[in-house]
Amino acid sequence: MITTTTAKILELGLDKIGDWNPQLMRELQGRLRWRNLLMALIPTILLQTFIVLKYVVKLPVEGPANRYCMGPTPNGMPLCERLGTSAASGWQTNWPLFWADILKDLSLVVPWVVVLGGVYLLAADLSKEIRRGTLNFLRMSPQQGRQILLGKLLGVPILLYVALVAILPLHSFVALHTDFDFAKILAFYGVLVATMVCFYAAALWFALVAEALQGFQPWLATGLVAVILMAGMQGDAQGSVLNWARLFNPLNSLRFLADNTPSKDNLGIMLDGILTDTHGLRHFAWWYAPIGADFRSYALLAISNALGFGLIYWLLLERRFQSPATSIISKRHSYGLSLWAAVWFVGFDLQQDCADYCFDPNYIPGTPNAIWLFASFSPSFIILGLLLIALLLPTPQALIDWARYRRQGERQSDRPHAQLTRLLQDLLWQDNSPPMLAFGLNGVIVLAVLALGVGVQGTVSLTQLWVIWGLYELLLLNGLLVVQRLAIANFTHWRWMAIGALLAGGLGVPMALGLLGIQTGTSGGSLFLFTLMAPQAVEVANFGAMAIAFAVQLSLTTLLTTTFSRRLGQLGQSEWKALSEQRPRPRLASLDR
Amino acid sequence: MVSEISPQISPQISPQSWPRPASGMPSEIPSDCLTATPTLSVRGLTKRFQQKIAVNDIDLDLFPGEIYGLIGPNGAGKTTLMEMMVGAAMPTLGEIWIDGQPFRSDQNSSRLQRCIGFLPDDYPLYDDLSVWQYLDYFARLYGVRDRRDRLYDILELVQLTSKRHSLTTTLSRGMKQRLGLARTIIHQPSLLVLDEPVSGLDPVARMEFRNIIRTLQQGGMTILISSHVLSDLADFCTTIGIMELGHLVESAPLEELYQRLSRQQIFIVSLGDLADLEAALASQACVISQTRVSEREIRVEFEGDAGGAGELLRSLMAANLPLCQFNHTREDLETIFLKHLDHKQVS
Repeated sequence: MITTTTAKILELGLDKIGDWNPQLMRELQGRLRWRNLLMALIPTILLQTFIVLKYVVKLPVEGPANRYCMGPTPNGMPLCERLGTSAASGWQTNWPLFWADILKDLSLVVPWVVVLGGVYLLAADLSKEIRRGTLNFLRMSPQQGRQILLGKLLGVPILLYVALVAILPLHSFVALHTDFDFAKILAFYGVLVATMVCFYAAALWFALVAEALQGFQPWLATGLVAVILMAGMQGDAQGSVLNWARLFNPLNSLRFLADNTPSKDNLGIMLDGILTDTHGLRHFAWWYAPIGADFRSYALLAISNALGFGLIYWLLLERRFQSPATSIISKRHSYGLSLWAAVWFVGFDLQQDCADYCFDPNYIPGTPNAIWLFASFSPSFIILGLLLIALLLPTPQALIDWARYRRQGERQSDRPHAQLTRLLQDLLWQDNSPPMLAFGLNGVIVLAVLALGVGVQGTVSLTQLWVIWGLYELLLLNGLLVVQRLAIANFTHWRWMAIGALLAGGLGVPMALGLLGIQTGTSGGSLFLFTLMAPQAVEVANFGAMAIAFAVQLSLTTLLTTTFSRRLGQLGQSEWKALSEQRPRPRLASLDR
Repeated sequence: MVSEISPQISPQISPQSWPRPASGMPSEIPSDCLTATPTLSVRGLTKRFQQKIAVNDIDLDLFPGEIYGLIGPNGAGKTTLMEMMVGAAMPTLGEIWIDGQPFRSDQNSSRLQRCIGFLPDDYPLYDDLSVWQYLDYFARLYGVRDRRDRLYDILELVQLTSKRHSLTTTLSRGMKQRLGLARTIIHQPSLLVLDEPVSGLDPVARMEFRNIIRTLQQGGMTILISSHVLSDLADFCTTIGIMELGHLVESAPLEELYQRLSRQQIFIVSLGDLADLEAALASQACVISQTRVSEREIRVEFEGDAGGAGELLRSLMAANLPLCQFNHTREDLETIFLKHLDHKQVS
C-alpha cells in the first residue's frame, strides 16, 4: 500500500518535472527505482554507522588516558578524570572532539565520492549516448541544448544526490555538536556544490570533445579530476600557480573550521588531518591579497573560481552540443577564457615571496626582475597557448570551406577596403576562419593582465617583459601556423604529426642545445631565444642577439603565414571550381510539375 | 536564393484535397507544417568527407503527401543525404528548405525541427524505459499537446498498445522498429524520413510496416524512404529516385519510370495458326518486336501502358484470332534498378 502510494507520488512528481524539463524526467525515470535507491542508500547508511562506531568504541571506558578524556596532558594524551567521586560515575568526555573526529571522516569521504562519482557517471552517460547514437536525436529535437544538458546534470547523478542527502543529516548534526561555527560548515557545502557544478560541466564537455576515445572518456575524466583534487591537497606551494589547484578541492575549506572556536586550544592539540591547517593555507595569497588570513575570503574565492570555470565549461558544452563539427571554442569565447585564465595565472604567480610580506603590512617588497617573473609565469603561458591552439583550430574541411566562401564573397564585392574589413572581422570573430589573428589577440589580453600585475607590483621593467612576451607569442604563433599547415595538407594522421612537431619544437630543441653543452650563460646561449627558455636567455643576451631573434621569428611567421594562406586559397579555389562546375542535372519530375 | 524555389503548388495534391485522417492518425498536421510549398526542397546539396564526395550536387523537391523512394547500392550516399536533410549532418555545400524556409541544423531551427521525423537505419532505444515512458519522453521533448490521447493513438496505430508497460528491451525487432516509427511521428511531422526501415524484418512485420506507411500517407505526411526491398517501395511509393556514387541519377514518378525504363511484354497463346497472329501483330504500331516462345505462344515487346495493351487485345479479338491467353507483364522495380546498374557498369 505504502509502496503504491509512494510510486503514485513519484509518478506525479516526475510528471511535473517532465513539464519543466523532459530530459530530467527521463533520467529520473530510468534511475529512481527501488533497487537503485537501496543500492545508493544502504552503503551510505552502513558507512555512517561504521564511522560513528569507529569512534564510539574509542570513548573512555577505563583510565588512565584516552583521546577523549579531559584531564591534563602530560604525555600527549589527556588523562581521564571521572565526573563524580565514585568509581561508578562516568568519565569526563571531550564531546566536541569526538564529534569533530566523526565530522572529519564524513567530510573526507563526501567530496571524493560525490565529485569523482558524478564526473564518472556524467561522462559515462554521455559517451554511451554518443556511441549508441541517441545523442543525435536529442540534438535534433526542438528542445534547447541547455535544457537537455541541465536535465543530464541534475538527473544522471541523482543516486549520488540521494546518497548525499542521506549523509547530510548526520553531517549537520555532528557539525552542530562540535563548537565549530556552523556558517563555516554551510560555506563548505557551498564550495562543494560549486565544485560539483564545475567538474560536472567539465565532465560532460570532455565526453563530447573526446568522442574519439570510444568509451574511455569516463575513466580518463575521473582520473584527471582525481589528479586535480590530489594536487589541491599538496603541501606548501606558495607563489606558484599550483596553488590554484587548492581552490578546486573543497576539503581545503575545512582547514579553517577550528579557527576561533571556544575550545580551540583543546581541540587544536588533538585535531588532525583536514580540520587543521597543516599545509600553509594561512599564507594563501592571490594578487597580493592575503586570502588565507580570512575564511570568508577563501570560501568566496573558491566558489567564484569553481562557478566561473563551471560557466566557461557550460558555454563550451552548449556550443559543442549544438555544433559538434565546429572548433571547440568560439573566437569570442576564447578572449573571455584568456582573460579569465590570465587573471588566475598571474594572480598566483606574481607573489613568490608573498608568505613574507603579504601578511605583514610593514613589509616592503623586494625587486624581482621580469625574467624571473616571466620564467615562473611561462609554464602557465605555454599551457594556455597550446590549449588555445587545440581549442581554436577549425577542422581542415571548415578551413577550406571558409576559403571557398571567401572566394565566392570576393566575386560579389570589388571594393578592397570592404574586403579587408570583412577579412579582419572574419579572422577575429568568425569560427571557421584561420585563428592566427584571434590567437594574437588572446596573447595581447594575457600580456595586458600580466602588465597589470607587474604594474601592481611596480618594480619590474616593462621593456624586458615586452621582449620576452613578444618572443613567446611569435614562437607559439609559429607553432599554430605549423599545425594549421599540417591540418590542410591532407595527412591522415595530421593531429599526431602536429603534436610531434610541437613537442619537437618545444622540448626537443632546448634538450638538443643542452646535450651540446650550450647553456644560457655560455657562448651560443642566444640560441635559447628561439626556444621556450627565452626568459633565461634574455637575462644574458645583448640587444643585437635579441633583435636578430625577433627578426628571425618574424620572418618565419611571415613565411609560414604566406605559404599557409596561399595553400588555403588554392584549396578553396579548386574546391569552388570543382563544386561549381555545371553538369547535366538529373531529371527532376517534381520540378516539371 | 529562395526565389529559385518559389512556392510551387502541386496540381494533384493541395492541403484542401488531403484525405481525411485515418484512425490513429493525427487529426491534423500542425499549422506550422501545413503549407502549399514543397515540404522539402534541396538545392546543390553536397557532402564531402576529406577527399570523398559522398553526396554530389543534389536537387530535389518533395511535395505534401508524396512518398519518395530512394534506392541505390550500398555506399551510394542515401543515408548521408537523408542525414543532411534532417539536420543530423551538416552539408558541405547546398541549401535545404523545409516548408519553404531555409533550414540549418546548427542554427536555431527548433520550429522547423518539429516538422521533421527521422528514423535511421540502426535505431537505438533506451533500455531502462518502458514503451509508454519512451514515447512520453519524446512527446515532451517535442512539446506535444494532449499527450496522453496522442500516445494512445500512436500506440494503436503501431499496434503496441498491449506492450505499453513493457521495457523496450523485451520487444521483438519488428516491435522495436514500430516503436521507433511511433517515436518518429509522435509530434506529427509533415516530413517523415525513413532510412531502411524494414531491413531485417520478417514478411509479416514488413507488411504491418507497409500498412502503417500507407495510413500515414493518407494523413498527408510527406515521406522519404530508402530501402533495399524494392517490391515494398513499388507497393506504396509515388516517386522513385536512384542514387549512385553520390549522384541522383534518376528521379521520376513511379509510373513514368515504368513507362520509360521498364520493358513491357505480352505473352499471347493462340489456338490457331501463329502466322495469322504474327501478321496481325506486325501491323500494330505499339509492337516493337515479337518472338515465338513455343508452338502456340508468342512473346511481344510492347510500347505503351496498360490501356494500350487493352487496345491491342481488342484489335486482335476484332480480327477473330482464336486467342486463349493474353498476359501483359512489365519488369518490376528491382529489374529496372539492376538493369540500370548493369548499364552503368558497362558504360
